[in-house]
Amino acid sequence: MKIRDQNELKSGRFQLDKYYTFFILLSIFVLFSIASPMFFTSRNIINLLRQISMLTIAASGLTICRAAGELDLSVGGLAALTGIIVAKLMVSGINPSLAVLLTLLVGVSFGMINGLLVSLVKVPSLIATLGTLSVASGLALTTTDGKAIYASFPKSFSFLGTGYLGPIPFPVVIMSIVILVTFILLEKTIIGRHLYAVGENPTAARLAGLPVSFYRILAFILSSLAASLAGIMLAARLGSGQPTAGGEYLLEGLGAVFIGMTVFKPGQANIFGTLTGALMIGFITNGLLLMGFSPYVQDIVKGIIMILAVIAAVYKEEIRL
Amino acid sequence: MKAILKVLDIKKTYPGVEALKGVSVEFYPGEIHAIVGENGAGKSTLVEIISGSLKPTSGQVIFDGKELKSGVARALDSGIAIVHQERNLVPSFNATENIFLGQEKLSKRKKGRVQEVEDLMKRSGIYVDTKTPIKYLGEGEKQLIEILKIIHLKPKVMILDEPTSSIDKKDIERLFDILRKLRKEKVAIIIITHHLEEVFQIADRVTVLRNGRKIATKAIHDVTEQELISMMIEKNIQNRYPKTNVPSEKELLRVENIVAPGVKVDNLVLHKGEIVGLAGLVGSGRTEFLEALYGYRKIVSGQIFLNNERIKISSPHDSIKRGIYLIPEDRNNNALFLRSSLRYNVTIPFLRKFARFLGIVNSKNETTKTIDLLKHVNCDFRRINEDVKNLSGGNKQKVLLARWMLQSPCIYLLDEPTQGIDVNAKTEFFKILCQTINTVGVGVILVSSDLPELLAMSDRIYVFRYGTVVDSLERNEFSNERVLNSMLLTKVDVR
Repeated sequence: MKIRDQNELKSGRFQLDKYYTFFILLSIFVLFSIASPMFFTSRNIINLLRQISMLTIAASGLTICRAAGELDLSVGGLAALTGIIVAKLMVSGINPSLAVLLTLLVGVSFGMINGLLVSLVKVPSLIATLGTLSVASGLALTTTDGKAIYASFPKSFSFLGTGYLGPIPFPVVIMSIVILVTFILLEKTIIGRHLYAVGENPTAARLAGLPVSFYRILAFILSSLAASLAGIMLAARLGSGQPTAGGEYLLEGLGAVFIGMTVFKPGQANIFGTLTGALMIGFITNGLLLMGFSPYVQDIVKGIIMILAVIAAVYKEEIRL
Repeated sequence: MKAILKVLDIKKTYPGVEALKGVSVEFYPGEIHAIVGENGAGKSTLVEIISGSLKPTSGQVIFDGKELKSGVARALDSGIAIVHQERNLVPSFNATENIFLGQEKLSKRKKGRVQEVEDLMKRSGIYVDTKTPIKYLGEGEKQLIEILKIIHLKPKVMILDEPTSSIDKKDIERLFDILRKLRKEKVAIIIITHHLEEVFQIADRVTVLRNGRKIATKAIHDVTEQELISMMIEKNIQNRYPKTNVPSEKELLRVENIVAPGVKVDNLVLHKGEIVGLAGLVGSGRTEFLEALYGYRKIVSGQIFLNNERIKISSPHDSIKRGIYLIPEDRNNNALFLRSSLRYNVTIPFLRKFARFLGIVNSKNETTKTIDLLKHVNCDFRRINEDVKNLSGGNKQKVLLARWMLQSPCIYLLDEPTQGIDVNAKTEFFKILCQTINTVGVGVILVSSDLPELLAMSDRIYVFRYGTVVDSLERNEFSNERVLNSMLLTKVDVR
């Protein structure tokens, strides 16, 4: 094939509406930079990135799940549960790397259960994961009697949540790696193509010979894996296992994914969209705090912004559940 | 006579597309007015505007001498009702509940409603099952319920968008009888159809649209089928069915005593280079048979031989591995990823071909190969990155053909491949198909409800009825009457 042919391809006109959520993000950024002199400082920005790192990691998993057409509500509970597990393992004096590995394994099994429930037992994902969400938070609470697990964690473990690589907080490094891996997986590999196919039209995917159940299970496993990683990092950051920590990953994570579905690849969950959503949530939380608003007001604003962001996409029927 | 409905210089522009470029038509009471044209000619857009669900970019809809602003409720109030191509019924409701849906304000007790529906059936001569939830009813019956629902509104203008595309011959006859009756009651009827023989059967006048423009409105006695076709398309197609495939004696597929849910086929053979047609009514087991061959419907017992070797097929994955490819009936819902690009749709089953390290897709090779294939099926390759949803029915079908040419095809199972595709694209589809048959040496099993098409394209025809093959004809035995007789009248013990 001559190169010329490829240059003739209609590259698609530049569509402004594909990026409009991104411009909202930029305006929020500019607005806060004007409103608060402390906002646009390298210290605050780095701080902000660290604040959203675990949310973004959990949301990356949700993005994969959503790409495959499913919803995973159990992430909030799972993050808390894995935080408790890793803390307990640490208290028992086990090697930190082994503890992290075992905990991630628990996450994977948990995702497998979600996946089997949805793909083989055929419980709709919304209901199945609502159930497992409740089970996970229940487990986190019963095993601890609702009390936090405090321990002096080994340095190597705390590093996951509090360490720095040069000026960059280590959680931000992990977040960047997770984003990169998710990007390659979803956009560049066969698995990613197939996940999107299953998400867009399961019947067509099955008739094209794709193993639909396999991909559904895989999506839930990856989502749980990401939530577990976030839960572990949160425990490392807090220096304790908190049975109610990580609950916001569900609502804010889903919020980030849905905001993300309005941008770059409208109608499809995509990782840079999700990052845009997570940043938006991070800017609002951080900016309002700097301006002296109470955390309760932040929730109201976040909710409104999320709805505003998806209105255009819903109107164009790009977002459906 | 005075026109009840006029459209004046209607234009409808979408970003980048002019769907209607100034169309004016008049509709009279007591007249059945057919609108014909190729896919994308603007037929549906025009009736959507008349029925109020689309707003024209410019132009007027005049109803009974007054301008009608757009809006579905307004159109309904004036007495303009439309039966859409897709069903608008609630599957879990029965006919009565569906007919009264949205009119609960009439607040009749259940008994009153049942009575009213019975009166309605008596008056219109449409008798349907009113007790069963409609999801258990056949397509034809659902269509009639849609019509009953519309008649219940006592419309002055009734629009039917492709009412015959999903129902079988017997129901079409019933439908047409009903339309004739409504014509007597001075209803203005507008009908969109792809089937020209139906136009001559039922219409009084016909309007031809082409490329968003009105070509002509003619009384039905003043045109011939050939003239209509030449108005619909730029060039006058002499041969609508270019059959150029060369069948061989070499056996490709043999099916023995296959039993699957809804299917029981004792013997069916496909040779290399052949097109084998499956005739039958909707629901006669043709689709189910293809699904069984494709591994999408569980085979209970029986044997399948491919090149004289017995094979087992238990999933689409198995059949695809052997080069047996299905293009299913409802391509939008069952085959395509509408919100993804042409390239994505073409390569999705065979991405492994382009895999590099870690399963990363080599998109340059992928693009090159896709362009080759799109050129081969005569589809504009420059649209490779566009979403498939923007394509016409014919082009969508070409994308699927391109997909299933990517990796050594052996057998094509085609289920109503030309449904909803215009005349021109149909011809082209068969041309490309025959080319492929001859160059690659595949065999084709073709399911089609379009009998002229089936007779023109097939080398052998198997007639299905109640899930089994009741007749088979070699090409020299083909006759319209025999196929129809076997399709409609063969006595079969229904299991």
